[in-house]
Amino acid sequence: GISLSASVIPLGASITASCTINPNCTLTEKAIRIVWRLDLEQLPEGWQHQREDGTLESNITLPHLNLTHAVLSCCLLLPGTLQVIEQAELQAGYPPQPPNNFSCIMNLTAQVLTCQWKSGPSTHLTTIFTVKSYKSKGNCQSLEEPIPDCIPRAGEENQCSIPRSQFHMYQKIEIWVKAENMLGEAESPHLCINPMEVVKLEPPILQAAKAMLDPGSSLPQPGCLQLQWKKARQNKHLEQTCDLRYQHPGELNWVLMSPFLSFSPQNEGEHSLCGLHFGTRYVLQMRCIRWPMSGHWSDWSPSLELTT
Amino acid sequence: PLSSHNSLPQSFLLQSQEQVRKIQMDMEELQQRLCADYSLCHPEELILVGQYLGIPRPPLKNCYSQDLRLAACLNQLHDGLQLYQELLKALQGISPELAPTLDTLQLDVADFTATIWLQMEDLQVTPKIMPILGTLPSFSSSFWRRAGGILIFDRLQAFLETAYRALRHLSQV
Repeated sequence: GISLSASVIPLGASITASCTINPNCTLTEKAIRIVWRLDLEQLPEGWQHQREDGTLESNITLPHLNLTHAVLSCCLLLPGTLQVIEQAELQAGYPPQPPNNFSCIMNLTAQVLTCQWKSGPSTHLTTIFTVKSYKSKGNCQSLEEPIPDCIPRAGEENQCSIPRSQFHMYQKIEIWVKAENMLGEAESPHLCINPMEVVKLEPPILQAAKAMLDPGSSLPQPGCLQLQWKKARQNKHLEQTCDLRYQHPGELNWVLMSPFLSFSPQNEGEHSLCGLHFGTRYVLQMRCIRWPMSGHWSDWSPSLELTT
Repeated sequence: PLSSHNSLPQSFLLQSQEQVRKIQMDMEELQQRLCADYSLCHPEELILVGQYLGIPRPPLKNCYSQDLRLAACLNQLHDGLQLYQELLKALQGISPELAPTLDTLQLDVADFTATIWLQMEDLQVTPKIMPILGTLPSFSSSFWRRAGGILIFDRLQAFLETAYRALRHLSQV
């Protein structure tokens, strides 16, 4: 068999292998010597000798393994033929760098805390990412109860979602992501967050717009509209503030009205928008954020297109 | 012992308001479904059932304005929420359609209980001994579970309204 100083090594490092073929292997009688092969390349002769019990042994050192993956074969050179007796897989790479841009968002619809990060440069090795977290308090000076590790699903290497049943939404947790492979491990900076403070709302709905009547004359007020809006159902219990933006179709820049409105408990309503040109086509969008308590902006709502 | 002059921080009140609203939203959804699917729309039609089931009604007298004391009120509120957590757990199996919303309600009540406890810790008024919860009703049929649900949601609504009024008052002291 083949024994290795290590099967996974830093790229460019050296590795020593030893191949032993015991005497009752009939081939050894006609064997000329042991030959080493790295993938398909025959290597210079290693140090070899035959023990008293007839065991054939050969050792070889590869000073700098610059392949991230290779197959080392121990072969017997026989008259007119080379026989592969045993193989070993070699891997070379790097220990992981600390993951960066680690952030988390609370999704009230899916009721999960989703964390994402950027992994460092490729390690060329299988590297496992695990989101680790603890319930905590205050500024996370003390770690309380551990929350089960979150292992990313296949195909989602840089993201993981923790179900809300594993933590309290209004209590601090200390959370980070750990990267680990055969050559080492590294951690992202630790975050101390209250999940509700990183809540990202579902976008509101801009339902319709109608002419705004002039109170005095009940005639449409030029350049003004009455916009009908509605909070997303999942966010109805949250106080929010919202922005509105509008543009002429095809134009790049938006006109931003920030804040456009703040809701307390209402879930839907109307709000006036003036300063528009008459007989002009507009595209309008709205987004909201939990307010006065903290959170993340929702995405912009689906567009409402209209002509004044 | 803490005098009643200590008040609750505004951030705690804002957060409690949000959590109470969420719990009420969850319960409204459950009540609407129970009314639509099983014609169980009025708790007052279930008084006899309520007596038979013996659903406990957690006290909140320390949170009524005449006798409003911060530590005693928070303590009673916390105990009541813990009892409601157990009552909601007993409703498991109420119906497959309601199960997800009931799970969410349980988590929301658990979160609000944790918020109250954290505030008690911040004010250093956590009790030395935790109360032993009384005997809980057992709902031996789907009907008992649904009827029990209507009664529990109704009482929890009232409990939360009293609690929130007290918390608001305690944050203005």
